[in-house]
Amino acid sequence: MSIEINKVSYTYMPKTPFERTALQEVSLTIEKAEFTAIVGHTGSGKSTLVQHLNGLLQPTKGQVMVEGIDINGKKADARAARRKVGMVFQYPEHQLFEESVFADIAFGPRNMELAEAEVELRVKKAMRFVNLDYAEYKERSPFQLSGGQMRRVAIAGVIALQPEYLVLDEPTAGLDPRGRQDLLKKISELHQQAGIGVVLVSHNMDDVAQLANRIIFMKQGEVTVNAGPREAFQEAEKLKAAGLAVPQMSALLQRLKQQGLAVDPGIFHIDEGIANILQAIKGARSC
Amino acid sequence: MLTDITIGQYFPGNSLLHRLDPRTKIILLCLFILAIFLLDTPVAYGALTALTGGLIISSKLSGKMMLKSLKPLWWIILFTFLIHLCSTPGEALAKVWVFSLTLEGLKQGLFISVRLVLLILLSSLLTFTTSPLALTDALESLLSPFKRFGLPAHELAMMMTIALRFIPTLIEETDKIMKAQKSRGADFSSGSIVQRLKCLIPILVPLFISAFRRADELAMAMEARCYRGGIGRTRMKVLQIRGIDYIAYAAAALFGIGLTILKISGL
Repeated sequence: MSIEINKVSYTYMPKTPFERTALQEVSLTIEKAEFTAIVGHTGSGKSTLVQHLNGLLQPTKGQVMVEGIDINGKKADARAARRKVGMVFQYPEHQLFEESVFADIAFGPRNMELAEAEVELRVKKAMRFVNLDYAEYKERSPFQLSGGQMRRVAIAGVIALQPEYLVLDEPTAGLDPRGRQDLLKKISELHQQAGIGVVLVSHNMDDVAQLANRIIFMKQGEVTVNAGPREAFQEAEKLKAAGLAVPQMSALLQRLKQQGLAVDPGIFHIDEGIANILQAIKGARSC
Repeated sequence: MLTDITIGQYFPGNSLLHRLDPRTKIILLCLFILAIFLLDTPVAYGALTALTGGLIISSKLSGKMMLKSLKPLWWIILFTFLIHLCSTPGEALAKVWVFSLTLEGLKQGLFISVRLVLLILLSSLLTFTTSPLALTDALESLLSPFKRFGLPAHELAMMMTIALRFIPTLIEETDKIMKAQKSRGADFSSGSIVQRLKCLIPILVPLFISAFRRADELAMAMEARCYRGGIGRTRMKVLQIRGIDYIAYAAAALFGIGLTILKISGL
């Protein structure tokens, strides 16, 4: 159960003076059981990469396989394979268009030609998931909601498709810290409880450190690191080269270590880090 | 897909045509268009075509790019040609159904087609070698004599600049919205006309909303920087007529005299 990206290259506007290679022979496997984070600086090709995952962009070279099926193939099952991957774009609230919250979330399921009863069921489920009360909000115009609520409606619109993989491109951009925490918690629940394979595109290393169990760094259209978080954050040099910062907890622990406190700088998780520091302080006092 | 549009696009470069003052280019283009409509002999058209070819070569743009600019109008050109071929009275060459194809029609059709092709190529050449900003600056400068008759030249130019500036942004936005709706299962490429028109709603509504939002933000940003129209405004880059512009005018004048002599001598 995985998405396989096999030597994918992509060139924007080929054969014009604006030709630009955004991906160069990228190969990686996204396991459904993992929470994958793709990080990289602006223009590193991460958005281009994720648009290949449900066939929005077709690779100039190489292929993308979702559970063993080439999604750009001609056969009928290619379409079904593409539908397994849901995509939440940056600022998804900019794609809302319907008169009511219900109709907007139902847009995807209705395109799948489901029975109206099933559509309603899915909308209810999706709204419950993003913490929007069905009875209160279903008739409201999405344009009268607050920014955070609009984003939740938009994300519900993708969740109602019930994809097996969910790709989120900077889902927390422009949200307040509270909204960010709530949304990330929900996404993490989606992964752990519903068993959906999540791909999170972000450049917030702290978010990534809290959630991901596989981290992929991208730089100039190539994958530079593809590892679990512990190994990935050890590569501080490569992180800096990719224009990213290490998570704040790692940075703190590294500085404490330099100051002579016996902490483990490999830790990046906030709770673990706090425990580690407390332990180190106790150890320092006792001797 | 949407990013393939070439009309109105600018290709940066450093050729002779790129370095000409945009005002020179606009004036010469107008004169050129005038010449295209006034002349009607094969020799004169040959000369104009040769000149256009020379300009394209000197612009160092790829021939493919130039041909691509013709693509949207290809059918119009063909249609015009056929209309002229069939509807001009004269000596019949052949008869197809109720239409008689005439020699005069063939000539006339060819003339009109060449006219259209030259017009498009030359206008494309202007936009390909001139940045939109330079173009609107030039228009403002050329329109400024009419200011005393109450023509808001600066405001018109500013409107054009803003419109041009937002074309790529809105294309990008459309592309993004289409992708988002496609991800939700919208299908834009199949179904009946009615169904396809319905498919436009999920694109147009968000696009309009975003256009208004951007307009609002832009107005706010301009106001925050105390923008208040053209009065007393100075420029960072002042347009200047230089040596190559005089050379271009002189060359155009010589070419014009040549064409006039041709016309008078009846060739």
